[in-house]
Amino acid sequence: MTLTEQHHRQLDTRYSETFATGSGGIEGAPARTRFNAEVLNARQKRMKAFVDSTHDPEGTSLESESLDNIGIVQYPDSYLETPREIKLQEWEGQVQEVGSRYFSARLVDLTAGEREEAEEVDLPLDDLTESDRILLVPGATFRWIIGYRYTRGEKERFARIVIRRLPVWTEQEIRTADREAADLYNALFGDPHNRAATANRD
Amino acid sequence: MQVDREKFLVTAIQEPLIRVHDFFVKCFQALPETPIRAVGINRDVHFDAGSRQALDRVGDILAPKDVWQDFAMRDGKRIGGLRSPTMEPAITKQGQRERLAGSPGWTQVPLDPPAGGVPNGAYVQVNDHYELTKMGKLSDGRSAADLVAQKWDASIDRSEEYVDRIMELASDPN
Amino acid sequence: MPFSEIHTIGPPQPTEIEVCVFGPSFGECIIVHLGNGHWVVFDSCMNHDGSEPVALSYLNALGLAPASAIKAIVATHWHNDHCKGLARIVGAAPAAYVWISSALTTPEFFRFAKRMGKNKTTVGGTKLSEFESVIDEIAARNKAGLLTFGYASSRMPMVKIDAKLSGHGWPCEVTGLSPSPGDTLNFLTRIAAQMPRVRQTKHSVPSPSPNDVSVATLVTIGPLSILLGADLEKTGSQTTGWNAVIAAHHQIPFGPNNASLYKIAHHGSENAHSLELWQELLEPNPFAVLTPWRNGSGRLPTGAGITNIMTETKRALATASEARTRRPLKERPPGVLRFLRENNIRIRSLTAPFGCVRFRMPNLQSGTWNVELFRSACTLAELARTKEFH
Repeated sequence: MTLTEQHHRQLDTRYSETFATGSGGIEGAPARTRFNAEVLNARQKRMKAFVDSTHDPEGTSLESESLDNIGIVQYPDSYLETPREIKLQEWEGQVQEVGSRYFSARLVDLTAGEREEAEEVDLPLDDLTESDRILLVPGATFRWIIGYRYTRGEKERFARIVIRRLPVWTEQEIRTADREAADLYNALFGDPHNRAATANRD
Repeated sequence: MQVDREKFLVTAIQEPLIRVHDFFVKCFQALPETPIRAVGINRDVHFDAGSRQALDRVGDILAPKDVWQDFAMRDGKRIGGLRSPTMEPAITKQGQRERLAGSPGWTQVPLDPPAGGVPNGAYVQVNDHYELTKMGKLSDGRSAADLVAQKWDASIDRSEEYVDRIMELASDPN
Repeated sequence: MPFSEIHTIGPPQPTEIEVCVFGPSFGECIIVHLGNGHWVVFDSCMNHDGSEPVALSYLNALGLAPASAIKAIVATHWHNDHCKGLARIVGAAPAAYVWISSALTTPEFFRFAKRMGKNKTTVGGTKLSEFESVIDEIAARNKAGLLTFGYASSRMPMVKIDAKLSGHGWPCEVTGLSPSPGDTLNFLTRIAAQMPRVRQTKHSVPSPSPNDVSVATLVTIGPLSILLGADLEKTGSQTTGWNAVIAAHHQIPFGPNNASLYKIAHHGSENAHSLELWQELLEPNPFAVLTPWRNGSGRLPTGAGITNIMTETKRALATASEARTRRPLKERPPGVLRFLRENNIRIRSLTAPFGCVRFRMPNLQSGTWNVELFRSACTLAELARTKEFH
């Protein structure tokens, strides 16, 4: 079984779960995906016409998808169902300490274009999702966002703390790092004459 | 998320967008041997110009209507305008399209009416495409992960700048 | 006294000894004039507006060129939070000898630093950039054939100035008191536990505590001794921390005379308080100075720490009366400020009210220190009375 087939099978049987969680943070929301043959047929015809006219098989934009291989059935997107968000402020934070009700963190103000920590804050643990609570340890990195959300014409303020699921160190990175470290060490200390006990230079 | 035989697509419709980067990089660190032809870092923004006049201002700057009088005006009233322009630098090197920064690929910025019923709205999509094949040979998941890890911040910053440029056109110069 | 006035008295005379303690500000910095224009810089922090390492600002304010004035730089920290600007000082003084804690020059730490350096995913970085820049600078010098670095440890002589060259006729020496072999082992054990591994999720380096690699130093100038405690703490073991220093001193005394000036170790923490240190390495009632510190809810010195110090000396000073400035909130969109207010979330600036305590001894024979306080520097008694440290 190829990886792609495996994905198809998993998606076919669990597509509602996929849609419930696929776009970040809508866990528990009712699935928006339903089979509606008429709508699907009409959509596919429209999309095929559009894609045929603009199809770039080499492209990576959304419009370049090939219809023959669609593995997911999707209810027609409705702009009004997707909340629009306007981000007012974003920080990246590093967790310093985790208490029983709050955690402290140092912040980099991304909205101000900064790249160094210049502020700190205590934030309530309750503002994290259950899955993020597990990842909350000293040294963990998170994003904290405050903004406005528009849902069906209504405007409300939102704040969100999301622990980043950072990439891993790869074998190649570790190997390269170790080689660089060895080269640097040998360059500095390989020659015994480099070992400094000569404080009499002055 | 959408995965089929040809494409692996992950989208975030809520901030923080960095989750897309983290998810993608982690996925392809775990799938380093996956054959990959290209990677696109895309940024889509619906914006509300605020009024019909403001929206027309955007279109008139991007495509002055002097040439298109009969498409745009009738009896002193506005009847039409710009629909779906796409901007793209057309640099080719050795038969391959090249990005502004010099690597294979392209950057496209289509501007469309919004997908849903937003009055006075526009939809800007920035497709930042990185071609990874070399001499017909496919690249791999490892390289795709590395590319996104390296290019994400700059790509999103650039895309936001393009969107800002277009949104600023809606502002009344007075 | 405002910091802008620091230059009005001018640089020290060639025969004058000076010790300046700056902080807090992502670290602390001590700069010592041994005589005749020979300066030694211990660690680094940025100046009050964050534009430049304070050591460079200070020397420039005195009308001195750092490149010729600085004879040695001693680095006792490797984490950005504790030595900001160090790489710039090293770059500004290409002829200065750079002393790095011996534990930081092991293959294990180099491997740790390089592996951590592959984490480029977070905006704040790995907190190792200062150390990496210092090592890059040293590597460049090494390639150019300049042998101007060494590793500091217990009993390592780092600076020696002959009496004929000192300006005041007394020999000068700067000697490392730590880290001991036990400290180095503890440090490497902790580094091994934090070593990045294949398929491990990337993370930043948490702030190190305790600072196992700390280089406490003794400065002797003829009959005068100055003890710089760095961040060394008293541990439970006899082979690490201040216990190891005292044990070594019992074997072979470090200097002929006890110190009359003490840069208090580890921001005056209770963990750094060693009775034997006060009794065996320091004169009775010496001058003592500390830089306050704050990280989240943690503050140093604590009330108990202040009491410990003031029991040993009545002449204790602090470089700042607060560990954090009460600056107004940054300008942000009203919606953001409203949210913070409504949810009782207070964002605090990490910038501290920067201060400096300067000690000058015009005449070694008199043994008398003249003390000046700049910006928010104060006595420890005044610090104890501020709300922050109650």
